[in-house]
Amino acid sequence: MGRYSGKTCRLIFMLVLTVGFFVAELVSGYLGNSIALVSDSFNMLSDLISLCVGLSTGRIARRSRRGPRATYGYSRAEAVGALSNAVFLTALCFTIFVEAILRLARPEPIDDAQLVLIVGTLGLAVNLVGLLVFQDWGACCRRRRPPALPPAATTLRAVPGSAPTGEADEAGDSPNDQKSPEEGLEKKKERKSEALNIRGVLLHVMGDALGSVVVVVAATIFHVLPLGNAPCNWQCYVDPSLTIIMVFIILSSAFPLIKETSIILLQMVPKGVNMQLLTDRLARVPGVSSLHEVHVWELAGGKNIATLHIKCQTPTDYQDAAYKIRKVFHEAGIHSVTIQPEYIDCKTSQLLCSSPCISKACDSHLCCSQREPPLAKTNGYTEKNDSCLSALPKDNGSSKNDIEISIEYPLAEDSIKNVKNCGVSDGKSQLSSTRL
Amino acid sequence: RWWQNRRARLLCMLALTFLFFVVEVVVSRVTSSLAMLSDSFHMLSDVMALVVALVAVRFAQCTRATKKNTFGWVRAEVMGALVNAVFLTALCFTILLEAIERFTEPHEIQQPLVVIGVGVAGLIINLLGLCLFNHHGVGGHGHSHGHGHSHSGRQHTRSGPKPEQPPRDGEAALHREETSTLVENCSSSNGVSQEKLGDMKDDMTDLQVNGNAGHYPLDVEEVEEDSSAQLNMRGVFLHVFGDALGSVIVVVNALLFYGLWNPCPKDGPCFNPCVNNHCMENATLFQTLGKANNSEQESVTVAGPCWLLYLDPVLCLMMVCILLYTTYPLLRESALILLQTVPKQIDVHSLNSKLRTLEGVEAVHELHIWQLAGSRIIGTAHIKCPDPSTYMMVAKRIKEIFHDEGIHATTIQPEFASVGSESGRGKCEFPCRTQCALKQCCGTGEDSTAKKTEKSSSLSISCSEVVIEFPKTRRTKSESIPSVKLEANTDQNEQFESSL
Repeated sequence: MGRYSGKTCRLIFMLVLTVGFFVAELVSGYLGNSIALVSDSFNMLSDLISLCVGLSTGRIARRSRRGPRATYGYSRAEAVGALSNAVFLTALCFTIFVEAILRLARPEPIDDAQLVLIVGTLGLAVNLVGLLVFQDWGACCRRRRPPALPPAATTLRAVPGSAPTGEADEAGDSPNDQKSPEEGLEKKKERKSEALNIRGVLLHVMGDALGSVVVVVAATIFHVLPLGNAPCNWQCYVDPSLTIIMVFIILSSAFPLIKETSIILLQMVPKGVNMQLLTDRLARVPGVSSLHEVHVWELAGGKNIATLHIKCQTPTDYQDAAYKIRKVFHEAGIHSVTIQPEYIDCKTSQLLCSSPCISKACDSHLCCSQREPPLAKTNGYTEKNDSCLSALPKDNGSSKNDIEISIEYPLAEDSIKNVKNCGVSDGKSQLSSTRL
Repeated sequence: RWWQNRRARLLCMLALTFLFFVVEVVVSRVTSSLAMLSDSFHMLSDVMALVVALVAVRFAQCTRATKKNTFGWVRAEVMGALVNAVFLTALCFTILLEAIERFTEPHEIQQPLVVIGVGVAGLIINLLGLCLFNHHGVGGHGHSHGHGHSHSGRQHTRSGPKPEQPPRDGEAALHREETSTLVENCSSSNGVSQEKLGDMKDDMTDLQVNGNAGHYPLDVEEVEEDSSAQLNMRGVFLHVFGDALGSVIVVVNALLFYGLWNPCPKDGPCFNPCVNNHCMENATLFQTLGKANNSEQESVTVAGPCWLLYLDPVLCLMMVCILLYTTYPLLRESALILLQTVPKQIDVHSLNSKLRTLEGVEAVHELHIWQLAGSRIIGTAHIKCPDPSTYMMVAKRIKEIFHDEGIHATTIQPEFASVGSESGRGKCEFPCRTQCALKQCCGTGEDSTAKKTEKSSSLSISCSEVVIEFPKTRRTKSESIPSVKLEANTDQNEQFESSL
């Protein structure tokens, strides 16, 4: 990946522009002794902060992966950055809302309509440039991208995931992609993750633009119909009411972003993955007697990760099933899977995990409690017909009870032996000597 | 006791704060003081923070897996903490802007007495909130019985050889009693949500039907208050703390104003040197003239002292600095959890080396450790072993190593080396197909680039095909299990080839 992809380029450009305008407004505000200019310049400051957050999280997310402090790398930084930007914007909207209400209670006219009009127009121009810059991805730094890839281009709108190619991407690729797969996939992956990051910044810029629009409208009204020294009429209410409308518009676009980042950050099942269907398909894989502890979550940017525990009869079952299980996941769009095999012992329940941790004291630290046998069909607990026959020898009754540590694994080791007793009789194992 | 319950505390504070907000709005209308109205909205922001924390607590009580979230919602509290921290930072930013504005255009306080009164009332409420939320670790009592009960129930069922169905009904009935008072949304919680058990302590003493409550190490539960709950409460605490500081500033400012300010009387000439600074020279001129002729002219009241007007913004700046300094650690901690980083106390390198030095383990890769929330740390690893029997022997040791580090929820994937794979020790045997490499959470191991170039010529070959050439030459020992496996393997090979 190049150091300066299109995304960083845009952010830096916008940053420079905003800083320049902020300084200009501040200076001219102090020189001209106008409070309106100074306060408007601080709106630019909030824009600056959101841009910095966006830039820095983009940088962090591209840092070298897998340090000792972060085994997954920092690719989630963009989601966290987007959430921070959205919450920051919500808080700013809240304060703007409060001010607008105060203004409604105590209306004041705009004093220097002309100055405010000029500044407002300039601010609007800057914000429109920003919006354009973020929308038009091809405007700068196109080094790495091949020029014509129509499906990729259509996915880069401000609302990702709604384009059909985005959806197809999530549902899983066909094994033979027409375009060169790595290039296309990389673009799509970038599309999704950069979309979150940019969206956070875009929200701020849009909020600022709307604010400038309101300022321009109100100042125009005062410029065209000057109030002089007369008491406030309807003109004074234009500004606050438009501001309130603007706050609602911004909030209605911030909440979807918050929801999307929550899906990632709360480890929810990613959109496009149907857990019920997935667990049904997995349960039907031959060789799998039951599964539990199925977890599917999204790391960031379309990378889905799954872990599960399966119970099988023999190691060969496991090898066989592992490939098919991966295939099922691959079709669902999940490409990083970790499967823990557990061998069936007819004495333990099929539903419970044979190897949660080494002692039951850890139960509260497990991601999902093992204490109760879960309700069927939740957490991917599915089981097939009990393949264990009845009347099994109870020679290892000692291993079951109160010695907590030894409960699970001797059973696993014995399971080879017992499985043979259950149905498959192929000679004797030498594993019984290694029981703990 | 009810106040040990997180939710009760939050609700109580929420009610108080909202009530006070309403009172402040009414008072501000009555006295037509704009400053009080704007101060009342600080209370409203407190209310929002409390709502966020409440929602997070409510969500986080559902620790069971659901269709939408396979981990349950325990992470909600961490996210609530992050949202509150960012919200507080944004509020600090707006307070900073207001303070800077006050520097350029200082206001006097009108009606300082009213402001003092309301400020003191707000301060009392905030101090009460501080006491409520400073009480961390209070939820540690009273759930020992509940805990022991459920555990002993399970022990009882496990000791018998029969399947667990009949005792499970009894256990389920007890669980139902427990859970009936818990959150309604969760079909059944995991039964050890600590705060609720504090409430139900009395019920639990009746329900100890299975005896043997003390068998289990209960202090594990008591000592730990889930650190994600602590994060959430810290977020709320910081909000209330910020509000308390704000009230202190308001009260101090109003007191000083009341005591020291010399206001302009409504009638009579008055000169206010604190505004219109560029007229200062005229002011001093005027004053000297006035003093020279003071016998004949009326004394001109001079409003002041001017530094009082700048006290408010200065104190606000100090408050912003204090708040930012105390919010940053919370922000950092919750962000680190959400970023899936390794928890501070775990050293991945030493864990990795411990795993590698086990005999029977050839290689370890895809080792991932992350914190779900609180003390729930999750680990996954792929362990490469020569054959399944070796794996069986080391499996328990592996889990023990993880357990010693505090990682209790692990998923270990054993992989069995293919023949002639000396060079490929580090390779994952079961990655997805090659074109998925970019969608995997992290490459496919150290040899990922080499692997890609190997495979680039034949895209449609799946990686596992290469793997399942099981060692035909190695199984010369008399272990019968591998020989069983060997026959099965050849079947598998044919199976795979035909599937292509």
